[in-house]
Formats: sequence, C-alpha cells, structure tokens
Amino acid sequence: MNVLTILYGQFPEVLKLYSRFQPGIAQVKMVIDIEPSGGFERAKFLKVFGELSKFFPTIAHHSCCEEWQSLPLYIEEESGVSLKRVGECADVAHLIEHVIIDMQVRIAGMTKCSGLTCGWKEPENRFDIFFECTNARVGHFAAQYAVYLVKKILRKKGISKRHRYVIEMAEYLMTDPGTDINPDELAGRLGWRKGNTMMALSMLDRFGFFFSGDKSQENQEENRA
Amino acid sequence: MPEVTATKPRNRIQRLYVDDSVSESELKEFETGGYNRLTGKYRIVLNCRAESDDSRLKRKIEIGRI
Repeated sequence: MNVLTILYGQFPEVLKLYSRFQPGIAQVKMVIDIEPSGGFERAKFLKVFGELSKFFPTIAHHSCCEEWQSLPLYIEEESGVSLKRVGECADVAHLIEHVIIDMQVRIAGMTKCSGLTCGWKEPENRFDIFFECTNARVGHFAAQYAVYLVKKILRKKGISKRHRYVIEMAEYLMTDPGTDINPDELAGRLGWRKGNTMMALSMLDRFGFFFSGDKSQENQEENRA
Repeated sequence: MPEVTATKPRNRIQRLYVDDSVSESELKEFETGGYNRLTGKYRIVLNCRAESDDSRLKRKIEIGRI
C-alpha cells in the first residue's frame, strides 16, 4: 500500500460523480496504490472491518453505495457492515475512505461528510480517494493515519488500544486550536499518563496533524509516503 | 447517447466506461438507470457518506429497547 499524492483544494470534476458532494466545500484527493492481492477475501475483510469498528464505532452507520439499489454492483450486503464489498482490491481503498470520513466527522466536527473511491482503469490497483474536508490539516492527518491503521491490521499486527488516545487528542486540540502543545500540561488536563500523551502527540506529528502550509501551498501540497 | 461499454468480467463487477464528453443529462440517465456514473478515467466508483446525526442513532436505540 503506497500513498502517491495528497492534495487539498477544489476538484469540480468529481462533483458530478456523486450528487451528495456539497458545492463550495473543499476536498482532499489522495492517490493510493493497493496491493492487488489480499485483504478483500470475505473472512479477512470482515475481520479488518471488525477491528476498525472498535476504534470507529460509528463506521457501521455510514451510508454506502447510494443510488445503486436498482442494480447493485456489490456482491452482497453483510449484516452489521455498512460498507458494500465488491470482492477486489477496491474494497481496501473503500475501507480506508470510510475510516477517513469517520475521522473527519469526529475530529473536524463536520455534521456530514461524503467521499468517493475511484478505481483507475490502468493500473487497476490505483485509486483516487476524494473526501470533503473543512480543515486541511485534519484531512491530511486522517488520510495518512487511516492508511497506517488499515495497513497494520492487514499485516496482522493489530492496533494497540493506546491508539484511541491519538484520536482523542486530535479531537481535544481541535476544540481549542490555541492550546499550548505542552505534554505535561496536556497530560494534567486530560488526566492521562505522560507516556500516552507523548505517544498521541508523536503520532499526530508523524501523520501531519501539525502541518501548517499557507493557503497557496495547501492547494498544491504533495506528499509522497 | 455516447458509446458505452458494459462488461461483466471477473469478480462480477459491472464496468461502465463512459466518454468524458458525456453531458450532465446523459449522466442522469445512467443514475436513474441504477448505474453509478463513471468518467473515462475510472473503472469503478464507490461512494460513502457519514452524518453526525445523533438523533437518528438514538432513535434506533430507543426502538431497539421497545
């Protein structure tokens, strides 16, 4: 799994691909290559989804593949799984999109957020993932962190329970953007151990949460991971 | 109507390749026909939406309790 590009800005060409996109709201476009083998077999996919649901419980309430009712492209609906599986590596890209969307709603406080996973014709394992974004640094972080988590689960490494601190810290910092990033002070305010606080801040930094480009840079931001 | 190739290759995915010159109204026809709308670049498009509508979730829980 390899992230080729992350861009923030307006992508009017995709508005016509999904009627739920809200005009005027910026988007993030992430281009990602997914390994063509593994991760989308039914049993493995359900396990990955279940693992992610522990960290993102609202993922089960997402709407997925709307407007497909009369001729569904997906294989089948799974009980308790919001995401429609199509049985190829698109499922992994689509799962990443759902995780990103969930983080956008939770961390950036968006009341609704829509996304789109678009599979290239060539190469078939390359995807453009678009998602609505009201805060560039949250979008930047959510994209990279979602890829990290899904990759980790697919490699059977599992996710430590401590990762919940990362999301909670991001939420906390977004409620008060002027907060001084002082681990001791934050640990005291949140009632966390300093180790967990340091870990959360370190992960946020690693995945671009503290990215601070100006507007012109945001529109052209390109990150290669 | 522009030329549309609809095939059913492996994995049972219905693939529609629509030329980039497709107009909005023509795309609408695909939508109402139950197909998702694809441009020339893409072979598959999957959409997703999340809403922080807590009342909707609470309603579901309440109904479940009854």
